[in-house]
Amino acid sequence: MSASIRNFFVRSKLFTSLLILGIIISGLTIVLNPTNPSTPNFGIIIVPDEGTFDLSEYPYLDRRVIGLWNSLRELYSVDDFSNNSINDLSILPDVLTQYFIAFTTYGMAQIVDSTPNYRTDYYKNLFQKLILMMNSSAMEEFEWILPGFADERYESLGNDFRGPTNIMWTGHYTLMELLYYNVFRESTYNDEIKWFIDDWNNSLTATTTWDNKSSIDNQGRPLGLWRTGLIPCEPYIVFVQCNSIPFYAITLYDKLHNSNYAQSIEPGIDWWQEYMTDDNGIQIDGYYISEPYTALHQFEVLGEIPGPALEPVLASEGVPGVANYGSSWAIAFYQGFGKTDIAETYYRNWKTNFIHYSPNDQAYAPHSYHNPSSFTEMDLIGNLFSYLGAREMGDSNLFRKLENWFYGPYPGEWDGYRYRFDTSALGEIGPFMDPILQFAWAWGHADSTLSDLMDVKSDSFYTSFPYISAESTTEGLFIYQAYYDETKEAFILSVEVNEQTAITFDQFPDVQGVYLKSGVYEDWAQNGGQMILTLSPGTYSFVIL
Amino acid sequence: MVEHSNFRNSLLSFLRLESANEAKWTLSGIILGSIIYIFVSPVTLPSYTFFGLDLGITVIPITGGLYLGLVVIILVASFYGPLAGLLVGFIGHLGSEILFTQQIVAMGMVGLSFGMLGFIVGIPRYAKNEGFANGKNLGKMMLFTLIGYFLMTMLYLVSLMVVANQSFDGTLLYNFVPYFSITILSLFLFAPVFVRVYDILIAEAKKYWKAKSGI
Repeated sequence: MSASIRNFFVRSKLFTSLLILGIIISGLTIVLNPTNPSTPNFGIIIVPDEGTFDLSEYPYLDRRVIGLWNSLRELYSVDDFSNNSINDLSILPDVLTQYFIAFTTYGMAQIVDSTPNYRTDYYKNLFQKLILMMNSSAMEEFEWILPGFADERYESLGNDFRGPTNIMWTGHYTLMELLYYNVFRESTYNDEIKWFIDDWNNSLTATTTWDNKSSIDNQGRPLGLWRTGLIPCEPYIVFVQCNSIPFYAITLYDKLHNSNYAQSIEPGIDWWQEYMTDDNGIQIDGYYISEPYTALHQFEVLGEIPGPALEPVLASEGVPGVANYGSSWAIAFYQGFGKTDIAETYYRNWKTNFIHYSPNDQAYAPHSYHNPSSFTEMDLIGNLFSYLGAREMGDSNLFRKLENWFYGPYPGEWDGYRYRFDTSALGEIGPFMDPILQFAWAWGHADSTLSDLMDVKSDSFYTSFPYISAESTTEGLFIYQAYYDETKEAFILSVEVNEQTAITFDQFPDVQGVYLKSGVYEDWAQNGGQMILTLSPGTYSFVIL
Repeated sequence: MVEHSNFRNSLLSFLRLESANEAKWTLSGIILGSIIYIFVSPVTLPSYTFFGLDLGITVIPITGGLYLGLVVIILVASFYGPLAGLLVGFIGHLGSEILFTQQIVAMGMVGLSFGMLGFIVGIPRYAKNEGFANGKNLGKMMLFTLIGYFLMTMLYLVSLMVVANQSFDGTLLYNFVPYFSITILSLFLFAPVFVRVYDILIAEAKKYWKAKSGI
């Protein structure tokens, strides 16, 4: 170092100190940031005499979404269907447990729908395991018996775990089963689904209430057993968000089976907009139809019954309660089942009243705008649903801001072929937040939405078109694209394999050729209606004709 | 009349508009600074969360990284004065919101709070006494950054409370604090380094032009 430069640094002590510190922190930032494998660019494949295929125009999965799916498979021990395993809820937080299972499944359905022609046990096992866990004795004990909902005082309302006053379980359970049918078109659960749909229909179309009062709205339409057009969670209270699940399920069921149950949900949708919306145009969080007796409500100040649940900090003034989680959850599902006008109106109001912007590219939302200083688990849950709601509404700016805030403290990292967000910085709240963070990002980055799932595919898509029915290993297998282009009669496949792997396609007779960007791929065989593609480690994009 | 004229001259001097030449440089700083701000502010530079401060219910990430937008404001304010600092923060942030997010938060008040930072940093004339080659001037700039940062935070919080109906403590704790570590590093570590490097480059450029023009 020349003397003049040395003198410069010696003389500029403050600058030199800051420079050295800056270099150290920059260096650490760069060195500690791992170089992660990423989703490949799919590019363009030209097939002689058939034309050009731009693979970036087809749906695909991010590598991290598949990595998160692999983590979820491990978390839920997907190959273990023993009684012990399906009753083991200890792997999940001991609050809101049923919701973790249900919403994970809704995210999963969107992931499967992103690669609709890949339908093997790799995907199916996780659905089946979660459906079994949702219907386990352990879940019944946790969700219904322990809180006291089986109390005989609720007998006239209904105190059975599987309905009719437990929409917070029956709605989710049925939708989980129905989405399984929707994305795999397997009728395993169809009898149960039909039973619940009929049960809800009986509840919603009754013209006399549970306590023998008339139950019709001012247009003469039935308002059901609870004179709200909604079905209770816990036997004594109705929520808009909880009812958005059966309403979504009923609409989806109609589309799948060409039935007409959805007319039963219209009076309830009109009713809650009139009686469960506050002065800010936000849905209120709960409306009591009968008095609650359980310990859950021992410290709650109740208003008039029937009437709205009150905001805890403003109960003495009779102000109805609001909840971010409930608002954004309902908005997402109303958008999902096609009530876009309602979703857009309430989304606009929700955004104005809940969202807190940061000076950088971040935003968060408090649980209640009546008490924004409080911060509890419900605020975190609220931000989860805000994140998913903004995505369903196609609001990519707010989605990004919420994601930046929600995921900021938790760096994503690969462990082999599994991806997860490192929540080790969290203390007591860690076990609660961990499963949320893992499934929500996968949901947020699937190439499908709740609205897309409502756009049901024809039966022939499942019974006639080629699909991947088996793979020799799932370890290190990343299927980014699996889509049969009906118009071009071409199978689009983008895949990464890390060990020698054979992929079996069913309903794929008379394959003419397998094409890569670089030409023709030869390592495949026809076996009657099946085609078997053999791959060495590497990343490939194919057009199969 | 004389008093009025003195006030006018003082104001023009304060705003770095005293002479046509100075006004030209100030205006250039505003235009170029705003353009650079708009295009660098959304750039995601490598950042790394070293650890999270566990508050029991949430975590405040302590993140290493660089927020280039703030550095641009400090740089322009340090060399071209309070008016340039104010307008680069305001126009730059507003332009960035319009161009990249199509959403102006709190009717542009966030940009104004960024402008407040630039305004405060730009108040002293650092060019005196060897400019930033003198560590005292660099230190003074950091002190004004600290004052500007405090006022920026206050204006930001108040404007979001009043205009966007956000809560004070919610905004402070859950919006601003997560942003704190990366802004602190940008303002008090990287900005002074950038300012000094820019100062050296300007000095070298002047020497070069002097030598070339034979003055």
